[in-house]
Order: sequence, then C-alpha cells, then structure tokens
Amino acid sequence: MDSAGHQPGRFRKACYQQWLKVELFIQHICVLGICAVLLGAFWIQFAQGEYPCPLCLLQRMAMVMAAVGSIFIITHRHHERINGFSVIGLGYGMSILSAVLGAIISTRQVLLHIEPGEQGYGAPVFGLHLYTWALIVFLFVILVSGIMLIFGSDAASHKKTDTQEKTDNISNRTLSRLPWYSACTFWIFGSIILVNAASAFAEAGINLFLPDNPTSYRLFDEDQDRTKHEVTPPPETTE
Amino acid sequence: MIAAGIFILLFLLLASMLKRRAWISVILFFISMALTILLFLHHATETLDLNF
Repeated sequence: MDSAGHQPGRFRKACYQQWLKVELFIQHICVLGICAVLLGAFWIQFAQGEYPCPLCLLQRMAMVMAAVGSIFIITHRHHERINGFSVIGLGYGMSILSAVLGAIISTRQVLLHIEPGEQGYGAPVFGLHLYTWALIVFLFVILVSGIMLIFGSDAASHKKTDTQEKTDNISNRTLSRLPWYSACTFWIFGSIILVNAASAFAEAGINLFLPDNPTSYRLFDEDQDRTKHEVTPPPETTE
Repeated sequence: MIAAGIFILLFLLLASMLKRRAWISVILFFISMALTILLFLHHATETLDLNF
C-alpha cells in the first residue's frame, strides 16, 4: 500500500520487482567496474613496471571508498532505514563524498601536468594519463549515484508494500545470506584492497610516507642495502 | 606505512559491511575519509603556478 493508501496493482508490483533486480545489477556493476579500473592500474604497475605516486594511491583509496557505498546498499538492502537514516541515502552519499574527494585529488594531479610541454606522470593509456581517466571515473560515479538517488528504491520498502509490514525495527528482520555473485564480487574487491595495501607498504618501506616520485619499492631496496652492507667486506686501507 | 594502514582500514570497513554492522561501517568510512584528506594535504604542498 502506498502513502495515499492505494493498493498497488499486479503490473506495478512486477515492475517494482524487475526494477529492484536492475538496481542490484547496477550496484554490482559499479563495484566490478571499479575493480576493473584498479586491476588496470595493477597491470600498469606490475606488468609495465611503473610505480604509483602518492596521489595515484590516494585516488585508488577514493575509488575503493566510492565502491564501498554500493556495497553498503547491497549488504543492507533488506533494511529500509537504519536509525532513521535511509540505506540508499547513506550508501550513495558515501559514494558521492568519496568521488568528490577523488575528483579533487585527480584534478590536482591533472593541473600539476597541464602546462604545455609537460610529459605527465607515467605512460598514457588510450591517449589519456591514468589520473585523467580517474577524474572521468569519479565524475561518472557522481553521475550514476545522483541518478540512482532519484530513481533508486529501497528493497525493504517494496517488501513492506507487499506484506503490509509496519515496523521499521531492523532487529526484527531476518538477515538473508548474500547470493553467490555478491560474495564473489566482494572477495574480488577485498583481494584488490589487500594487494593495494601490500603494494603501498612495499613502496613506502618502513617510512611513514611515500616518496613524491617513487623509483623503486623501498621495502626491498632497504633489505638489499642491508644485505649488501653485511656481505661487503670493509674497504682495505692502502699504505 | 600510513597509506597501507588506510587500505587495511578500508578492508576492515568492507568486513564490517559484510557483517552488517551499519554504524561501525559508517564510522570507519568517515575515519578513512578523514585520513585520506589528511594524507592528501600532506602530499599536496606545492602551490600550482597557474593563471586562469
């Protein structure tokens, strides 16, 4: 029953159900799309031997946080509201905030290399540098999140319409298990986050901050320097 | 190490979402966002010499 007290028709119910599936599909595509972009960045990093700069890693963090918004909606879609906050509002709000932060970081990097004659950082991919692609991705996330905020719907609210459920108490709701495709998506996403953590640690070594223009993985360099220092005998003094 | 720490925090954020701890997720999200902004401010020290 809607707010005006009308009983929704069968066709409308069927449309709701189809739209919920489309919405869930779009949310998974958002997460997998960001996974694909991050895997592309891994390809440039590991296969082509380019080292990500601090701003590149910050953009990756923002991308991960943008995807987390969709994951929040997928995992909490059986709740309409959480302590008075709408689930889709929280999820897409997280995505938009992260995308705005990421867009600021990538715009800064674009402006750093915008002067004529600048070669830019790293090799271009399909004619654009990675930070320019990142800016496009962030703008796209903002666009999709805005559209989904307008047309998106809470799965729980439709469930409520169907069952005439009145309560908003989430503790009374049974939590369903995640479907296999969601579980796979989250495992892929989680693995990408962990590889990023390992890569950032290898690049920074035992230092707090990353170097501005990285030329090696400092963690392994420091190990090699220590081994070299232990193996190399002290220079002999000539008389 | 700070960058790696933020990624670990983001992994914990993902884990809290899978466990459906909504408010822990939201708090972890804002902590990671604040840390990312601080790290950005640390690295973005040079002023851009641009005139529009």
